[in-house]
Amino acid sequence: MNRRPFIRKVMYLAAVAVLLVPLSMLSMPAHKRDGGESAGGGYLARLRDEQKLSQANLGEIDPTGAALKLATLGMQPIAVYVLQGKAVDARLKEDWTVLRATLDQITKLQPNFVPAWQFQGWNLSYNISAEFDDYQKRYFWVIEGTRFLQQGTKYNETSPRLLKDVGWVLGHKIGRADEHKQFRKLFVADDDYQKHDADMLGLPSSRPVELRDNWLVGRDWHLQAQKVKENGGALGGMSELLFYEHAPRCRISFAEAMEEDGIFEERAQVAWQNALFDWTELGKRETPTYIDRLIRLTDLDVLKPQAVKMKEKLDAMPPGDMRAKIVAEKRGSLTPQERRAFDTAVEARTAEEHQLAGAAAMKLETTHDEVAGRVDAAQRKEAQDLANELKLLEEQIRLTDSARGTVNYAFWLARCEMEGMPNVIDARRLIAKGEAAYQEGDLLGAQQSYEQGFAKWGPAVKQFPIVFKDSAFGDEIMEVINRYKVVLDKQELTLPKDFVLNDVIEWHKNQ
Amino acid sequence: MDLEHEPLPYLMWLREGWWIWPLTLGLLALGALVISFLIGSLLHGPGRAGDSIYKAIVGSFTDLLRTSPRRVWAIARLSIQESLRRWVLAGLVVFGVVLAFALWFLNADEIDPGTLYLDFVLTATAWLVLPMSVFLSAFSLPNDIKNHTIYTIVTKPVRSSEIVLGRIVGFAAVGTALLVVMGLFSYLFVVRALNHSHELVEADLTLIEAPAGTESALKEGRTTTDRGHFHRVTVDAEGNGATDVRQGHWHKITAEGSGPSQRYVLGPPEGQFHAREPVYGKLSFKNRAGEYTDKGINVGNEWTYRSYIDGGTQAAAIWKFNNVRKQDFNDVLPLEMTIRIFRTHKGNIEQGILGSYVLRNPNQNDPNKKRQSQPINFYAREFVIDQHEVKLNELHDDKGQPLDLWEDLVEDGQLELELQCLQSGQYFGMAQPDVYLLPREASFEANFAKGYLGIWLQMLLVTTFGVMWSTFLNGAVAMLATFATLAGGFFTQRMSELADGKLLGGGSIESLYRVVNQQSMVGDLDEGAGTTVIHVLDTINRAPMFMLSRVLPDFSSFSNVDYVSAGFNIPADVLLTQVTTAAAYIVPAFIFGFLSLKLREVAK
Repeated sequence: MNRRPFIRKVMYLAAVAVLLVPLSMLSMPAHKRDGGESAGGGYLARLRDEQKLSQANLGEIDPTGAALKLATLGMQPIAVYVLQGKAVDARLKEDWTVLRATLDQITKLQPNFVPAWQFQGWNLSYNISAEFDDYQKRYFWVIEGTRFLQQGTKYNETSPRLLKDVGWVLGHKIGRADEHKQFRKLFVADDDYQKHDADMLGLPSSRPVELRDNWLVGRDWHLQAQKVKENGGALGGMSELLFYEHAPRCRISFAEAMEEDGIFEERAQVAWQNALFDWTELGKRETPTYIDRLIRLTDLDVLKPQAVKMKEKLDAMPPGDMRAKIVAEKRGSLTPQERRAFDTAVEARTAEEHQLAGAAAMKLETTHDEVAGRVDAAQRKEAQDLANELKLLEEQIRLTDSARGTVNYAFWLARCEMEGMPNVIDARRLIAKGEAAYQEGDLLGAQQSYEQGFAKWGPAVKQFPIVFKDSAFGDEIMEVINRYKVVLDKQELTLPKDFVLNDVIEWHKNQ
Repeated sequence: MDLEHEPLPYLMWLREGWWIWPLTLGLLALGALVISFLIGSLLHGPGRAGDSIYKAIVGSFTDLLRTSPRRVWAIARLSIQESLRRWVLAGLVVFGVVLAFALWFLNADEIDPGTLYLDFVLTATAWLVLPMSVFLSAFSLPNDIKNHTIYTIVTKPVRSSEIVLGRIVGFAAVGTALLVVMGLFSYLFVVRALNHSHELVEADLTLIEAPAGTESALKEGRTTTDRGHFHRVTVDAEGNGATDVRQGHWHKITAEGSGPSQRYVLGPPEGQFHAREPVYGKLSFKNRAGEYTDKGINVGNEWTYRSYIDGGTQAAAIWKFNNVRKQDFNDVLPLEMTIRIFRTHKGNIEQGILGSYVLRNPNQNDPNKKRQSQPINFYAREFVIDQHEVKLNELHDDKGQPLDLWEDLVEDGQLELELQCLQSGQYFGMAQPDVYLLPREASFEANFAKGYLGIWLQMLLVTTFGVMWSTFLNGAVAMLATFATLAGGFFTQRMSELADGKLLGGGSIESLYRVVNQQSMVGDLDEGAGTTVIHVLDTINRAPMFMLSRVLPDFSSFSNVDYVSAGFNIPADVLLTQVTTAAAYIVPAFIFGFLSLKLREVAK
């Protein structure tokens, strides 16, 4: 009898049994401990856990989504592509029911693809809401987009970007839209959403009415995003400074909105003070830059004097005054035209002279290394060390200055400080009263209120010129001044020569 | 309901195209005869070829004319038994499982869950029944031939036409039974799944302020939130009232008890299921100078289904309604609108855009008949069916003189409605079906059943094609061919656009090239030999695409899901057109299948 087939079968079985061992070492699933952490498992399961790649590491797992993915038999990308096309078509044909249902299906198939949640959440809140004429329906879709994003955060608990987007929509879409007055009222009165929001953030109950402002709720979501980021969530290329800026800016916007709503008492002052606190804290935070150096926005006031002192020390090193001598030497190498252009006053230069002067300035530039290199030999090493330190310090100043410019730190700091002052709050109240009188046609009443308000603003202009020189803020003030001028004009009066805001007019006269 | 392609009246449709079908069949038959004769002549000489063809034609006609209904039914019964043996009832189990887990995927909190659920059950039914029909019909004959069980039939006095027709009837009967059961379960599922209620407590009600000197008896408030929505309510002094309409339905409120122990009970949702029978009009426009024109303005929408009229000008949209009969209406003229709004400036955000419409006699050129009602003002509402009821006993002209709709405005069953936007800088958008009269509503249940008729016709087509392919192909190939017919049938529109070169991204080869190279659809390919080859191949490919798109049945035209889910009665014209179209495919497919089987050497 031929036993070779039998022996072959036994050998195959044995090979299968042997291969099961490495297979199990590779792919054995992990199990969950009581605390919810994963433990054990094969090499791949441990690798997934370390790199936080498994779906359970990212957030909740939706059985519906898992079932839907299985049902596509591996053709999930094709299904998503078809559904995207269906969503685009539904949007075109204004079939909002089908669109909404399709978006749910898309995200069920790819719950951990964060950009899909971001894109469609934005689409609902910004694009779809704008399709409706009735502002209440617009509000509904803004909230629908917010809920959509919040749903995404459940499946992507390690993504601070989605949480930030929720905060952004609640803050900016509700607070800055053309319909922001109506949206803000609806938002405060929306008990269902407020309860849902509180549940999502794990709050014990819905917020009291005074804390239901969209800016404050948005801030809560930004703070939640910060928590997730600090627990290891990735920002995915977003600037850390801009990420952390959102929460304090929500406080500032809340204070602004409060005054726009006509609240000028102690609450407004507290709001601005809270905003100042948050903004100052932002300045104290260590923030990485694009070259991996850490900066603090508030350090500029310390770093600049330090740099000046160090430069003076370097320049004072023997033989002394080397910087001026080097500049004088370099001046000798300039062409006569360059020299002449450089010596001409800036406002008197022609276009060609500007170019020549620029080239001359570059040639005359003297580095700290050049100065250190000319210091006497005995102290040259010390000079070189000082020059290096000074270069690093100047780079730190440049980065800090740039970051401050990015978030307009100085302006908002001054503004928060200024707006929280009692006389400025009074000024705002009086100007608002003047505006109301103007709308009602009460010119005398408007004039009186405007003048009282401007008088209160006067000291603030002197103390915080940076605020009034800002173009956006300046525009706002100029609008009020222009209405005041109209009021005066109707009474055949003109602005007084000693008008308290003459500086502001001067600063914005070309706008 | 958006109707991009309004259905033609059945008789008009038939009149315009009735000659195409016999002409096409005739040409095909003639072509087949000529080709058969040529092949026969080459093989056996013209004499024998002509003789064979003559015998085949005569034999076929005899078979067809002498087809016995009794034998057809006998074959049908065998087919039914075969289907049951092949576990066709498992399809019902699968359907049951799908319905059981459907609520995982369907969100009752959607803005219009009724539409979604109806869409789902009709689509799920089609997706289950059609593939099942493919499997049943495509494998039956080939299996019989492979297993030689066909001999037990062909050796009896059974004609080929009876074998083919019997199988079609048998499998169609099985499909019909499945559809009936699925339809019943679907209806129950939708009604049960959408049934809900809310709670209303005294604490959520406030008295409505009454005018000075009067006592208010009405209260208003809101219900609890269930299924993602709540309702605003108004109740009278007895505690009875109704909610507002949200998500397409409302609830009746009745009070139980009185005094402090009074409680409010909300009834089940009402008005969720409709089968409107609208009377549509013919739409024309006037431009801002008051001149008649075919179309309104395009405000920049990509979808040009609607065109717009500008407000605060003489621009208007005019609907001319026919078949307006007194017996269809009582003392109100119900009309519904689904127009759109376009603002060029925000205006008053909290207020809608004001419009007005007048009802008028279509005979505006006759001074004796030139009468119209006073303007009836309204605030336009988007994305809802805006219901208006014109009280006929309150109709006046613009001089305040009373008008009788039937005597003064309706002429030979015709009535005109002119609609304008009143606010300058704002626009109203409309398409022809956006304004209609609503004399009556049909039964939703009957309409739901008519929706299943469309699926039934699809099933019948699939079964016929499946049996047809199986008469000369083996089981697997017949199945593939039937699936290809089904899939191609759902994409005839796409194939037609591909053949006409209307799709972005070029033809099929060019699209494949773009996908592989990750190029976008817009923009031309770089000039070169490769591009030339691609374009040549695509041009060659266009002809078969064109033929296929014209030959394959358009399965999507049998779908009535949109009507049922939108709450509109499926018009008889649509059903008759569908039935006639299906018959136009079924008859030649049956004849082709019968001839294939007849000419095949099976146990001869």
